[in-house]
Amino acid sequence: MTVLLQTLATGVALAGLYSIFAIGLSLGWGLLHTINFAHFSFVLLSAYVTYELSATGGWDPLTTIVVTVPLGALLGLGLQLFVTTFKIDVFGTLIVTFGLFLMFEAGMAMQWSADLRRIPAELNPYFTSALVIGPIRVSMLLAISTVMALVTCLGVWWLLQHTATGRGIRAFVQEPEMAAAFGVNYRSLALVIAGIGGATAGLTGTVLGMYLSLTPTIIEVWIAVVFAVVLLGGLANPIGVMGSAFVIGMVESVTRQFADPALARLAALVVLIIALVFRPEGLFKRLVEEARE
Amino acid sequence: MNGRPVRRWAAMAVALSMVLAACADDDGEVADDADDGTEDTDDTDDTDDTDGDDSDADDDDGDASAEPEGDPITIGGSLALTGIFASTAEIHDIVADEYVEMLNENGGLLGRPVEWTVLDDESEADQSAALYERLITQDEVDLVMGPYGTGSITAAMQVAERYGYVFPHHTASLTYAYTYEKHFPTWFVGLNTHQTTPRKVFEAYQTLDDAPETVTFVTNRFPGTDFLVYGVDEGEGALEAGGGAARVAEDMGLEVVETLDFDTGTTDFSGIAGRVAEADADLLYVGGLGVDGPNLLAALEQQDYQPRHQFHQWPSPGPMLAAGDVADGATSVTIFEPFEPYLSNEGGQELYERYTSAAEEAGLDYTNPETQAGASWAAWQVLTAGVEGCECLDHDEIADWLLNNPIETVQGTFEYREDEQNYGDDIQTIKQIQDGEWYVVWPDDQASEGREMRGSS
Repeated sequence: MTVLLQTLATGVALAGLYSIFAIGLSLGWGLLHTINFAHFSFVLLSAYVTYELSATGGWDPLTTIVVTVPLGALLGLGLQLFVTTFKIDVFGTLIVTFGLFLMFEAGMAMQWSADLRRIPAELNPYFTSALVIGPIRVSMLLAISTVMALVTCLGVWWLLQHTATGRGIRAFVQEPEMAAAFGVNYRSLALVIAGIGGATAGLTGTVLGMYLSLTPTIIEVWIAVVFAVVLLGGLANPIGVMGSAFVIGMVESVTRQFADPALARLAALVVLIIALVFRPEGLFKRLVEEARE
Repeated sequence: MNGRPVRRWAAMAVALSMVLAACADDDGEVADDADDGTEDTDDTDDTDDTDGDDSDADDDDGDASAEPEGDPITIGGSLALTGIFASTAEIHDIVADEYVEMLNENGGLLGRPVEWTVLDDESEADQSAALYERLITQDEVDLVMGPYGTGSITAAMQVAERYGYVFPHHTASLTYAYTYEKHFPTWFVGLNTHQTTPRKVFEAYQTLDDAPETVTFVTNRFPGTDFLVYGVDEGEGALEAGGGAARVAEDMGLEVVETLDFDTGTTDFSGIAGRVAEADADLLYVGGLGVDGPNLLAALEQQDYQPRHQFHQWPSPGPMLAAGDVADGATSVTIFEPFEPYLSNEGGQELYERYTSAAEEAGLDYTNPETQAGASWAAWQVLTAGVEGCECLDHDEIADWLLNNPIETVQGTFEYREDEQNYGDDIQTIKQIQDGEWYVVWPDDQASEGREMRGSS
């Protein structure tokens, strides 16, 4: 029974990390029509900033969110201004942001070299500590990211469902001309969403900066699973993102505990493929389509 | 946006992400569109005379302090300057620059200056092969040096074989795969490393008062680590069938209580750590590389579990030390460390001094030369020894000289054996983290001064 509970807890904790990573990408894709590949770069840059402030500046790594969150928000805003100014369509955003992704990678390699960068253990107690609940032990970092994910996803859901900003954004995505006729200023509202998406990249970066040994290419191992969470979750659906992250985190956790651990990521991607075959729109509905119904 | 375009974009994104993920997971190769940057190191102007160079593998080339003259000897190669292997390849980049600089400061090669050209293979094997094709057929380099990484080495070696070039290489792990008669490995672990390496490890542990009786294996499915833990079912060439640490352990009387595999690129070790703790074997044998070990140890610490004994195949030395107390007592294999007896080997002191200084200048976190730098420096020693030995640039003659003469390197003496696919003895030693530093601890006659293998604390 303890093993089962431990597996469940690990799955939930993994889901937290995947949720906080995916929510910004999902919002941008679903509401702003921006498939933001550079989201991964924003995350990695924030991770390096966390490393730099902690390893050389002596900051508690968790406190670096006061820098990384605004940094991520600014990057998100900048990208959105660029996309809006040059009227880049959804496919174009994929190409442009992939280019940005490569540029960021090269830039980070120049700044921090290809060498492994890790916050020293004595400055990063979160890396090796655990949240202990009875017989269950969960990585403190994953627990922190789960709390971040819950707060962020529920906050975004509330914003989209219960505020004028959210209603305006949804109305514009659903019927742009009609919304504009009713005075919805999409450009301003889009900046809010882009800023939030970027801020979540900053949060994620701080967690990963504490969690990983950084290299300019380390982020690539996360691309598949994060896109899987976004697609399964239904675009721009914060609750869906948490749900799909839970499914994928649980599949990975169960596979690592009860089967061959090497198959964990593969099992998660198989779930994605099966799910998309039967439900191409994802396991959860798009938030905007819900508004249309 | 209606449903169909969404699905189309979704399919494209999934395809793109899966291609990237597949590339990242497949033997560590990443489809990285970074520039095909080249880095030409022309040290031929740097001809300051210095004292005699003790590190040259063969000093019978006359006056080592004379300025090199004539047309430069061109040496080409690729390294993973970008991509997933770049963090380790940077070590080889530094070593190459330092070695060539040292050569030119000390009379060059055959009295001629040496020009080293390194191209970026982006951590991709096919890119590496294409670059060696270019170096040999278009740039017409006189000599080549192998790239970094098993996949790239394997691919580039085929090109070298096609054109009959001598091919020294420093880090190939699949010993059985290399049958080219002019390849010269300097990861000098012996052809049957799947037998000799684990045997060496278990023999070292058997010397302890609390010698382990049970073992858990945690293995990265990277081909090299898989080969060392699980061996091969059928022999190939001169390779012995069987082997692998798991089978060797049983042969030596250890009980294997758990075997767990994980994919390259795994970042979450929580589940694996739980199973390691549950198995609670006397010895944790981590067939991992890079930061696999430190990541697993962090997950074990979260479980409040300290392995009684632990061995790590190819860990990044710096992150292992940074892992803290949980890594104390961890062992690994090595072919070079910055202490005696290695510093007394041919070129050991030069490697230590030059590499440490250059690594500090490059901003590397861990600036001591160890296995990677030792293998790299030795590859350059082998190449220059062959050229100076035959006093020529003819590849058949260089290979012939290398196969028939002992070569002094920073690792010790190499004797290449044709009947063992140009491998020789397994000259690895065992190192261990003690008091927050790595020390060579086994065999006794090669141990660092005042150090011996320690049991569990």
